[in-house]
Amino acid sequence: MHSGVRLRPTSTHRLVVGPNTGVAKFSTVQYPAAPPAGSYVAYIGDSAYTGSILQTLGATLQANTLYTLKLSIGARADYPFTGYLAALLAGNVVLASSNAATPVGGNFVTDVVVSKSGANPAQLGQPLQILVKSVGAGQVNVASASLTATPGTENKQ
Amino acid sequence: MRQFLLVLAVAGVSVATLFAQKTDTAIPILNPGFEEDVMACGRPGLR
Repeated sequence: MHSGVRLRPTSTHRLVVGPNTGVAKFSTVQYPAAPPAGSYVAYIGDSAYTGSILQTLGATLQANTLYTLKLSIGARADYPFTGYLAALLAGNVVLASSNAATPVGGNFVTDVVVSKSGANPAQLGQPLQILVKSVGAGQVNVASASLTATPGTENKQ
Repeated sequence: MRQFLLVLAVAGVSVATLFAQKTDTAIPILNPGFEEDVMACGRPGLR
């Protein structure tokens, strides 16, 4: 177990990984529908420690933009799933979060986190960040992540 | 001439509508499918 910062020199991305968190290739033992070659996932936390991943992106928060974060959240068939929290942040401030996905053992469920910036958001220009952390004495897996920005979604009041 | 102007106006509205459509932009995420082992630092929860 350790935590640390991994910095990819050619990128503005920054990745912070908490305890008992990493990447694994799981088989049908963990996910019965996994292909023969296995499925890559991020595993976060275990029965002893909660884990987390925080990725700082190269993009910054823009005004009047709809941000849609999609995560494929998984629960292993052979290990407890006790919850998670997924959040979209800018400048270390949470813009929106969710823990809505409730996958049963051996399956993935897509969670969607949506945030609409206003005309003059407080974190304007701050780097966007994605945080996923486990909750409780279990493990959450993430199979994929995507983030889209849709400009021109100004709030009309 | 009037017919031509009418067609031109309709075409103009169509083009404006086309450009007014909101387009999604994908924001790059490092290792979004977790195929690269860029952050491994533990065991995957072996009991």
